[in-house]
Amino acid sequence: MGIDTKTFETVFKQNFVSVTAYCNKYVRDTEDAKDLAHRAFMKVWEKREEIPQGSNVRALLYKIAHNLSVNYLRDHKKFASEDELEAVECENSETSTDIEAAELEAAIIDTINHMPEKSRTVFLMSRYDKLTNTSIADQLGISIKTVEAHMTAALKMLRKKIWGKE
Amino acid sequence: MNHNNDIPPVSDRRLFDIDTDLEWARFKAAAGICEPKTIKFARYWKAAASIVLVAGLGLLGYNQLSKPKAETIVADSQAIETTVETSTQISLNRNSKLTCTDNRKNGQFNVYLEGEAYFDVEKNPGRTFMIDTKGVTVTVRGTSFDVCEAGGNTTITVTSGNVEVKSHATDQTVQNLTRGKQLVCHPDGKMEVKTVDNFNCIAWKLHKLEFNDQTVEDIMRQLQAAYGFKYRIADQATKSAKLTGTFDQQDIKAVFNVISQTLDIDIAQDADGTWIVGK
Repeated sequence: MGIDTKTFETVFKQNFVSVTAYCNKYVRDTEDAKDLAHRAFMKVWEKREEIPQGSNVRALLYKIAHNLSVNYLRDHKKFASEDELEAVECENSETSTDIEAAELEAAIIDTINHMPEKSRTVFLMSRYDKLTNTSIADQLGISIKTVEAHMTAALKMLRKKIWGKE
Repeated sequence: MNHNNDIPPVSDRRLFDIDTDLEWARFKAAAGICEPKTIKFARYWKAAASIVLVAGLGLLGYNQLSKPKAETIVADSQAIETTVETSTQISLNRNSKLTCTDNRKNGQFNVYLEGEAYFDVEKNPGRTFMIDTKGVTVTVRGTSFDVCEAGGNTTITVTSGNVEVKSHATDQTVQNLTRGKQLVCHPDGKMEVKTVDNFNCIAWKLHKLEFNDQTVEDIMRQLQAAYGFKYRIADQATKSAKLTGTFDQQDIKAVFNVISQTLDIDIAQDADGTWIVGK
């Protein structure tokens, strides 16, 4: 019975980003989403003695994160209508496509964060800061050809790790 | 190549900045998870480690008998921040551990520290805030300062207010240690006080570094202490090159960028992540 600290640490490190991304889909505030993820993990930690070995801790985490997110939306009045809140409340966190989306996000983030530093920087500037290759080249003091080479390498790595394609 | 067909669906740029090791350290602190066996000591502490740990655990045992509300916080690979009482802020540097005991009966809040921590202590006339290391007891009433215990020495650097320090070995007391004063207590209990020109020694907490015509060799040593990275200076000319400047709240890459451009030298990471400074 129960989860030991080492196993819990592994569960935490493997799932913290995806649980945060999952909460963020509801609350739309990364800092608050991180806070909710911490609270979800804390609830699981407090129940660790009661959790049977081999049970699906991930499912439990998302269920708690879902409930915390709904409570957050209600407390902060961050919903367009009562119907919208009710729809979110009724979502089944065990079959939610939001979980799959959050886990895909986490896998992409993990892949990008493990790229060589220059490729990561170039990729984030291009895809997420929406800078042009010329602007990236200027800011980093490298040639446009080098920017393109970093982008090609980064996309190749993503395709291979995420979609299993060369 | 058309990149636009496969733009990854990450909803928020800030999700990339989540550091799971740091979040785990925060979680451990909040959950009160203590793993003393996993403390990793910096190389220069190794000689003192066994003595410090034994002495520390001995005191811990005593504290727990008489003061039941002890809480232990450990920072291994990342510095962590924590709040005790209502608004006293403690930043615990990498490879450090502290045990807090709220001893309300006699109006004391006690901390036992191994490693380094920066304290911003709230003013509270009703209680005394005391920090013990192997070598000294520091008594405070509303102030900000850094305590660093390494290689048998304890160094206290005050950034505001004033503190009193008592050596365990000699019972000697130094009072009114104020802003800009630094006290070093040596293993034999001898204490010396000097005035510091800057707070570079606690840049790991304040994230502010000032260099005044200092050599790259000296600057890199201080940057390493503040940011924690591996580096190598490629040549003698680079080692002795001098720089004046202030870095406030900048990440290490921004700092290197300025140094690299100012001195016209290359600074880049090799395959192991070691920063190579110079041509």
